[in-house]
Amino acid sequence: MLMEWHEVSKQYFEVERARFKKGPLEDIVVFDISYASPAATFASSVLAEMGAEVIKVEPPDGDPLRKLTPFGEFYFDGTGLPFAVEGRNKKYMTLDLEKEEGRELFKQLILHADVVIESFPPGYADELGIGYRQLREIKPDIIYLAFSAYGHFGPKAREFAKVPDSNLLGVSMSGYMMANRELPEAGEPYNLPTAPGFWMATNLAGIYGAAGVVLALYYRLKTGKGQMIDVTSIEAMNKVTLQLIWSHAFNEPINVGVLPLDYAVFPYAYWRTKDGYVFAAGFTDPNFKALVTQLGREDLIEKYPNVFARIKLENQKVLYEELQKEFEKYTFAELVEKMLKWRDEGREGVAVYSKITTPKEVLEEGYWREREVFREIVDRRYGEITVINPVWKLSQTPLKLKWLAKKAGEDNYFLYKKFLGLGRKELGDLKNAGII
Amino acid sequence: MEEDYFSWTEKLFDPKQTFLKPEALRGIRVLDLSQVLIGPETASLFAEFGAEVIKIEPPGMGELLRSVDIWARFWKGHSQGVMWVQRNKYFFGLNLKHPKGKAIFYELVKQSDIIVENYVPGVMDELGVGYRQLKDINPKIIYISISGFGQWGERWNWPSWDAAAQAASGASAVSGYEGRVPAKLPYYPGDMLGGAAAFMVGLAALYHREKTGEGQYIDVTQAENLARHLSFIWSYVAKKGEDWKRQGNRDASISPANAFKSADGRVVTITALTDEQFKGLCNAMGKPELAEDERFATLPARLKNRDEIERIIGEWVSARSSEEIIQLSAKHGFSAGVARDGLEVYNDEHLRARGSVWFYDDPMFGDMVAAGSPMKMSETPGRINWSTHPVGYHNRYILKTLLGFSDDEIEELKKEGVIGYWIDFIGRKPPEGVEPEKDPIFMW
Repeated sequence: MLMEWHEVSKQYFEVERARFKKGPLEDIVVFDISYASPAATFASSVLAEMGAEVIKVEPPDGDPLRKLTPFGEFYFDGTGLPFAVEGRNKKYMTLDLEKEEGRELFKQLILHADVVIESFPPGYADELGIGYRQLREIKPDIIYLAFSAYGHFGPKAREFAKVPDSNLLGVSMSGYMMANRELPEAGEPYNLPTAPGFWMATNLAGIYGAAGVVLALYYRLKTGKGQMIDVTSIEAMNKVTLQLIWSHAFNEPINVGVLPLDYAVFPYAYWRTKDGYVFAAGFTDPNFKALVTQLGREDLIEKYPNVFARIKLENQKVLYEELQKEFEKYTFAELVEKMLKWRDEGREGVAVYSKITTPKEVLEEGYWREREVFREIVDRRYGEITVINPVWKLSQTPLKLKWLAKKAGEDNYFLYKKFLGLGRKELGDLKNAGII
Repeated sequence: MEEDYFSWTEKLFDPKQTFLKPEALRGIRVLDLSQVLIGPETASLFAEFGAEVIKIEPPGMGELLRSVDIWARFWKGHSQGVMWVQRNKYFFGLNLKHPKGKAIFYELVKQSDIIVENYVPGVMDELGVGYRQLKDINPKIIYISISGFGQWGERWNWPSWDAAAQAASGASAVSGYEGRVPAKLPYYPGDMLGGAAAFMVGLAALYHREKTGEGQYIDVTQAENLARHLSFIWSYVAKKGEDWKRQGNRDASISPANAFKSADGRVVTITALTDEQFKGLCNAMGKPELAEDERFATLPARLKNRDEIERIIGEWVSARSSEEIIQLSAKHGFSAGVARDGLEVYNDEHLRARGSVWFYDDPMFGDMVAAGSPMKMSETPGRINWSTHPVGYHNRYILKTLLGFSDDEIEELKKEGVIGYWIDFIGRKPPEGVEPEKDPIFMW
């Protein structure tokens, strides 16, 4: 008798042994000299999860990103939660790159690097003599990842070089947030463009940047060649905002601010229930039938007999309200019961329900625990803390969470010794000169 | 005298040189069994950087998303969603339920490197094309399974749509406004963000294989990937013991970071993360004294007094045009953007010059646009050659170039129902004006 797929697939990952396996990038050294950049920090965080040795290089007074924290709460020795959490697995070094002597040291360190990540205004690192143009002279196969708001080339690159990248910039200029708004009749601010409630743009820029690095590493393995990678949040969001073809086809903006309705399929929306909110879908004919029948509204089948009738905006509005009257009669558990009963009776069609789960509720659900999505650790710096683990599962080379951010320069002695053979006396001099 | 930096980068990244530069994934073959968005996007990213991606669809109706389009408009008879996520692929209409179809698939597996699929967990295994079977056929294979909630665990057999994952992961619960229905975030971030991540870890597996010869199995999920994007929100909620409140446009961790309405009625986003950026913003507002004000001088202070500083900024924005604010952001070094619509993005000269708004001649749709690769690689840039094709359009090309079939054998396979083409239905058949019988690619 064959084992069931969900059992055999779990075995591939050897969950109990995963922490003893090597990550995919364990031979790689990354210097992250980014400054105040959530995108770069997320990229180096992900590379560190993959096992790369990531050295976070900060100016002597630390990366200003340390100062960010939700609602101004939870500082740990001056470091807030975003830096603490995404500073994972990195080693911490200080070095003043604005001083000549600091740059000379950096050029020596670079001989040991495979990847450099930076987020300075385009042209600034070059001006300092540590841009890609100079580093590739010292280390020809270096992979140089640069994050910025408008990029390192193109007609606006020079003029807008000083603009710092940000999540809100990425979601606004890409056109993404234009679609995230309620119907006009909702009134302001609800019908105005709204940013997602998390750092979608800068995190996604980080993911594409890290993907670019791995792609470049693969290419380097085959050819010995390095390269420069230029990533912006605007372009990261442009890649996932499905709007260009519409503009091209019809020479008009895609106008999709229709929440809580949908622009492509319906019913496919969120409704209020007796105990919260639910996502429900049933847009193909059999699924629509299943959904409205379960809610006791078979009468709607005849009124909205096919997908074309159901996608019309004016029909969506009526249908949404009609279904809202039904949804508020039930709790989420009651809806699921209806769905299961339907399935057990072997009836045609599937109505999909998913609870709009809040973060606190997610943290209490067993599903996430079993999948090891979260880890509760007791850290000597941060006390009891719950942290999101790496979430992409690789059977042979698992990603790992090892430790959270350390203090700026905490590993100076170790790193300067290891890479450059410096001792206490030399470090003392560098410290006195304000270099580290 | 050293060359000006930006003239140098213009040459380094010159989009006109793209097709003269190497493709990083040349020689890598991907078999794409996925449908809808997340798997197709993953496979498209491989194709964009030079992998040969074969999209395998059931003959006839092909995949599900071919039936779905924005407002059901079906420009040139096809779904824009499909056009978006089916880049540079070869379209192979193969019946995997037929024993001969499966045999052909197994032969392809032997000469491929990566599998991408996103069916409900267990479906591929039951069909005999899961990792359990394919690793014996090709031990070096990298098999990427993508699902809503994972191949194992208590939700292993849950079907999922993008919004189901948004709902389950907390992504929606933290987006929008308190007291309103949480935001069902547009453009399928569960899928599109998940596709980017699946591509990234697939590359990591490829790197590992190149060094060690070892293949592996990968389990990526929509819900967990979105949860990863919530990052420190989890740590905050657990520490605080209270739930996260939806913030509208306000960034909870940075101040100022919010959206404001400008004099010309646009929504303008403004962010100043560092004290230096804040100083720049204050100078732009003509209020340099605010940067010294102890209520606002540091980020912790600004987070404490954000209502007041953002009220001041809101007043200033309301009296300026969005264009003026954008210009000032460039001069003074703070982060400002306008919530643009799709047409503005499409017409953006900067994005066009960078190849992010990418124009090309599509074999099916003629004059066409796509979003170019978001990571601009100086040595191995991504590129877009074509978009979706009718079901089975490259059958002959695949069967002849990779498996040595002849015309009569291919005809026989069709008769037996092993392979097949499109049916006369919206989203499947060639767009008007395309005559496949006259196309040497189709007629290979």
